[in-house]
Amino acid sequence: MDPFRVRPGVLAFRGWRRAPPTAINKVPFEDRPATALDSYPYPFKAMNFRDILRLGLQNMQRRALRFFLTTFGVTIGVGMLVIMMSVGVGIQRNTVGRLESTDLFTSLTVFSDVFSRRGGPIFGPSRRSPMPPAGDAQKERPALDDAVLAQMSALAGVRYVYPQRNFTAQLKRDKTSFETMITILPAPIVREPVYAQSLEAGAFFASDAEDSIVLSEFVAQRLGLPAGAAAVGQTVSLLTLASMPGLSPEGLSFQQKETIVRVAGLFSPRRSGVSAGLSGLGFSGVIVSSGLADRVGGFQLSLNSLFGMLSGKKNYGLATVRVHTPRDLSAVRKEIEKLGFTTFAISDALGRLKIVLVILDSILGIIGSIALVVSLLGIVNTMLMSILERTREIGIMKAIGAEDWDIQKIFFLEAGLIGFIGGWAGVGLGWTGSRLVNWIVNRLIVQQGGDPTQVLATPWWLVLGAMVFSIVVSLLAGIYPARRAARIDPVIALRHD
Amino acid sequence: MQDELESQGPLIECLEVTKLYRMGNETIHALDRVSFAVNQGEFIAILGTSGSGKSTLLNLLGGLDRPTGGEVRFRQASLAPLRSKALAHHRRKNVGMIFQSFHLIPTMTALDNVALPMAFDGLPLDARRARAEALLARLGLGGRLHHRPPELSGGEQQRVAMARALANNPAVLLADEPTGNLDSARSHEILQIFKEMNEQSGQTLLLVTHDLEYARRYARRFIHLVDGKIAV
Ligand SMILES: Nc1ncnc2c1ncn2[C@@H]1O[C@H](COP(=O)(O)OP(=O)(O)OP(=O)(O)O)[C@@H](O)[C@H]1O
Ligand SMILES: [Mg+2]
Repeated sequence: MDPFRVRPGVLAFRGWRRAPPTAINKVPFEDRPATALDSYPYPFKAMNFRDILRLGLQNMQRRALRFFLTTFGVTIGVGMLVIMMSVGVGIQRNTVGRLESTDLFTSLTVFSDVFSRRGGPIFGPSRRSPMPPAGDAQKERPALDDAVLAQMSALAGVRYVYPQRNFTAQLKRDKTSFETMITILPAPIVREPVYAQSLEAGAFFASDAEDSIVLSEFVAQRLGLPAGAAAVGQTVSLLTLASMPGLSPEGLSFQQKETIVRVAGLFSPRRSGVSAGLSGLGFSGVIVSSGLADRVGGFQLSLNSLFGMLSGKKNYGLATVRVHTPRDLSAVRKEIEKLGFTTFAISDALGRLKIVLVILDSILGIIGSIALVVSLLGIVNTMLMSILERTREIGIMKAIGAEDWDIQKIFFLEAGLIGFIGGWAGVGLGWTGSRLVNWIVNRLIVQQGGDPTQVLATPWWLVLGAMVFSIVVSLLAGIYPARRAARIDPVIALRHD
Repeated sequence: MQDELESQGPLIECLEVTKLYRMGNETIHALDRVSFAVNQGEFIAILGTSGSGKSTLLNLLGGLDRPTGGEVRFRQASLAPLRSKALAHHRRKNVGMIFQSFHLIPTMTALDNVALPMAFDGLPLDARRARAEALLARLGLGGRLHHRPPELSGGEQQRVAMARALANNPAVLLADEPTGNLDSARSHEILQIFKEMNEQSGQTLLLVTHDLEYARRYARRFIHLVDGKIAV
């Protein structure tokens, strides 16, 4: 075949005024079979993707150092973003996330309004609780007594209810004695897993009949008890101030009472983490069953209990309601508030914490994004430089038949490749970086005797998101340079060398 | 078949083609109502002094630029309504351009340079390579396939550029002072190839040159441009 063989030309465009002579289609073109390509109206045959990729890679190879540096910039940018977001996710997981995974979101504290006209004394009232109407002071507040607690535990979704009670007593062993706050927990309640979790040694009391006590490690140590399991089974005395039977409004009389109790177990609030607080373990160093408390006449010197005694009406003041799942919480809460009580759920306080975390996340995200934006400016800069350098080459390519869109695709692909490679490497860098930080921090934590935690967390959605984000954004960065390259006028580009 | 094609009339027609450039307040008539026709198989030399509008004319015929006035026709169809995509198609399928300074892509081998116009036309790699090799071999560069332009002599570079211009089997070759950067021996070599292509394969050729002697010796018809006008 003669490579010089002449092929008659044909113009292809919409609205061709006359049909091209049939002879044109019959002239054999030796390099390809006579396909639709040479027949009218034939479609424009575009450059295929592999050739665009080849050209793009060739160009990148040619300026390997520059493209490497630009890509490295993207790597650092994406890596920064991933690390920053990992910090955010890590903080979220170590605070709200950890709280959410505990029983906190299934817990509700109920106040009897006897305490205060304005609501609960400790945490403040729930915003959702109905405010008592003005001038309503005389109206009876419902008391938080056993009947009401039973009513609450009958509500759908409620797992258990117990009154939050404590009293002050003296603990004595040998010559050591000190005053401490004692928490009263009903025997059925301490069978809940959260209590078992916090045990260091021994067990909780199995029934209200046992004269046994559970101490925190700290209190056990103060009492001079041997550490760990050796403390279990030892005895201590409990000195209480018991009110005399036959109490009358005219006067209250008290007498001291000493009870010998057995140490059933040791607990450490640290072990059950944050839920210790709401389970009643956090505030106190000593736990007794409600049966024992009644027997020793554990008396809490508070207005609430005094009012209760004086009026002959029991009022616990505070109770904990635990529901099965966090989803049950709001319904149960509404029911309880309907009974005339004020409630507090940890999610009230957490709402604000969550907002703080969102702000923190945004700040971290912005810091990370700034790094990415800088690296994207790097892409734009590199591409523009590349275009400037290759103006003549672009002119040549257009002169020998490249379409504007071909040129645009070549440059677009280069920007995309930088983003793609930089994105992958950046995600790798971020991931490795956060593992490294975790490793270092955990070494320090373990040295200090703490439990290892995940300080930075890089979940899969962050990895995937950073990848997609970096590619999308670098393609955006490529739009302007690519369009600019496509607009180059070949006549001007080729005029002078 | 040749008769059939010829009966279709001229390959290229210029009808009152005008190209104006505005430089501040001045208007430069790079081309001023130029009309002529090129028939299939012709070898035409375009002559004129520097600045007479030769390159401008060639760029218009090659679809690199658009005239300010008048019309360029290719096979009796006007280029005017073509959008940029169709014009690019015209450039890669119908015309092959050759320049004074070769305009090869310096980072690509001779083979890749020649294969590039076929890539823009979507031809697969193997077919491109095969044709590029055949063209280069035919132009006596069989041993220089993998050389890059800086490693080639001027004459060799121009032959690579010729092979590239021929890559998509164009109907017409437009050569803008192809021998301007070559010594006289190399120039004769190149022009001899043009002449052979014209005589043996019926390749239509438009050759821009300063040199009346070269034009006389190789071309069969002349167009004289003086200040953007055809001189009679
Ligand atoms: N982009 C432009 N802007 C302004 N004037 C231009 C432009 N391009 C060409 N011209 C002018 O148009 C005229 C014709 O230019 P052209 O390049 O066609 O000349 P030429 O015949 O090819 O000259 P040479 O032999 O030196 O290559 C010149 O006067 C030139 O200055
Ligand atoms: Mg010129």
